[in-house]
Amino acid sequence: MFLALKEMRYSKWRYALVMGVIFLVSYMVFMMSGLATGLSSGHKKAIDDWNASSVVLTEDANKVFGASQLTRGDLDRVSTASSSDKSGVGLYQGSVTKGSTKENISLFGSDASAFTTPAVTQGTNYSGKYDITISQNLVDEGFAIGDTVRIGNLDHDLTITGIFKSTTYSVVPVIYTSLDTWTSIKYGTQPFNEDASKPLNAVVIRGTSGVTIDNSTATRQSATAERTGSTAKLQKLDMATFVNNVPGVSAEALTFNGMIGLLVVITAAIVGIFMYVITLQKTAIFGVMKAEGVRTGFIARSVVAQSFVVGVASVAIAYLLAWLSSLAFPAAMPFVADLGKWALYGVLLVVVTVVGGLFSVRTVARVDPITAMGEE
Amino acid sequence: MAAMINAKDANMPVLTLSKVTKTFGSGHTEVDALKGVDFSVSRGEFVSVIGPSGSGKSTFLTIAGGLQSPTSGVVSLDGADLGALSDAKRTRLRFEKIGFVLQRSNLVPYLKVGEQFALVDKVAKRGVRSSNIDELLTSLDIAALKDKYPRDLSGGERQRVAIGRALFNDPSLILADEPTASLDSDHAYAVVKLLAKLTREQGKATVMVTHDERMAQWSDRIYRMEDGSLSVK
Ligand SMILES: Nc1ncnc2c1ncn2[C@@H]1O[C@H](COP(=O)(O)OP(=O)(O)OP(=O)(O)O)[C@@H](O)[C@H]1O
Ligand SMILES: [Mg+2]
Repeated sequence: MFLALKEMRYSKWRYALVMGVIFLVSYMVFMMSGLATGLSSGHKKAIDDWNASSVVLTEDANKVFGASQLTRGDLDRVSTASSSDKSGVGLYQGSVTKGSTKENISLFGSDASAFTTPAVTQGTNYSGKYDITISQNLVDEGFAIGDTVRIGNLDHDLTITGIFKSTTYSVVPVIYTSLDTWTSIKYGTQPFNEDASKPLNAVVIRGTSGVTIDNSTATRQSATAERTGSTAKLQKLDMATFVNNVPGVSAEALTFNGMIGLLVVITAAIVGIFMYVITLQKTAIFGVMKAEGVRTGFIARSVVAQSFVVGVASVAIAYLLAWLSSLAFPAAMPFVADLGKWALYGVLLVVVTVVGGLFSVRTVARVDPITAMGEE
Repeated sequence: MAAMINAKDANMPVLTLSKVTKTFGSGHTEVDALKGVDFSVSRGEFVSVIGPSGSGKSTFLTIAGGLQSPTSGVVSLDGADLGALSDAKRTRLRFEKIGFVLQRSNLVPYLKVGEQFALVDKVAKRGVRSSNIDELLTSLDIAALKDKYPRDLSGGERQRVAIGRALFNDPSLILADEPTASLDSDHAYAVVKLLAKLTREQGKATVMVTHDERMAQWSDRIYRMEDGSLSVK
């Protein structure tokens, strides 16, 4: 440490330069991670809001929420510890119109009393046949309690009765309404023989105990939507799997993780090359030190300590500045400062800088003390 | 009894080389850099080795300092046979028993003068002995340089600091390889005189290699190296 710090003090600019580069790379890693989390949250936040443990879809939907077609009758085939631990949910993706204002939205149908239905922060929850609640971010687009709006195939005005906290699905604001209203919005006035044959997209489950699925009556294997009878084969997915199959989420995660991985490797390379060049410039004095009986380990440790100090300092500054930047970003920006994840990336970046420094240890070990004697 | 042991210690050579040879290369590129060198130096002795370029002076000094092994012969330092030691032990022995003063300044460019000494304490894994450092700097009349970097010192000042650092760990042996090569004659004289004085005062054994015969005038003995053979002048 002694040699490491003294040398950094002496060659300030040289070390400031490498710290600047690592700072920028780390800052970029944190930004990317923030965007990745923000964007993925934009795709699926409404689902995270459920705080559910698993989701049941039809098997032929291949884990895709929107492609899953089951019926309210299928609810009985899913058993949970308490009947309030399951909730049938429908999804409709389209737009909401108020006069000349038109906004893309994701609309969920869910029983007013079900755990999947978000609590309102203003107004009241939906209760009447043509009631809906909207997310706060839709308010920002000019919608308010008491407004009447039109959605989808339903040939009737809907009334906004309440507002719940901001959330998104498929990167657009969210509306909730009852299952019946959702059915009419999505399917219009199609006749259904009985309630049990009315459609659902998923059964959402909270808690893990006593969850079973009855597939004994399942006959339907193909995706041909046959809305009479409970015959689709059901499949239970944990939330991670379910969310990963929300369109856009995994592809984006892959892209961002790829970029972050690349940046981490670049950091290792920068530090490795830099420390190597600096070490080469110091071989003469290392030779002298070794001649004087300074152990190779002492010198090597100082090289590694330097990359550690450089790494910790620049990553910490990047962490702090990235966090401060995130506070300054506009709310509309899809950015989430996941500080725990950043800390993890930060540790990884520091580890990688130390690994970069380790490359130079071999060079230090190879310096022959005999070079200290005689003329250069 | 105690006096006897001390007297015996005083006469016991610090460094001895007996029948040391060094051959580089093999076949028709073979060079005999040292051809059977016998040498010894005791405490309080200041010895110079002079000789023309390529005669083997540096080779002699590196072997004496345990930086390379002789092809044959025995080198012993304070009674320890260097050839019998492991690399790690030899490194330790160099640190504890030998002070080097090199032609090229052996100061660490990025340490201030005071820190050059602190480094020795750090390597020895002991606390930095600030009072010792100050005392030594004052005795060498370089206390004012304590907070300067080597690049801000004159050549003479740099060698004085180097001598101070060589002595700082209280070694038995000082090996100086052309310590005055980069100095003008006035400063060179001053540096050699200082080295000679400290050698006697502190009871060190000092071997100085030089090709400037004038620098040898303060020596107790002068050896001449000629084509790999060492003889007393
Ligand atoms: N590592 C080596 N490999 C091959 N030959 C060497 C090696 N080191 C020294 N020699 C040869 O050994 C001989 C003695 O070299 P040495 O460096 O000891 O001379 P010197 O007396 O110190 O010369 P100078 O006054 O120029 O410093 C020279 O012929 C030199 O070429
Ligand atoms: Mg030489």
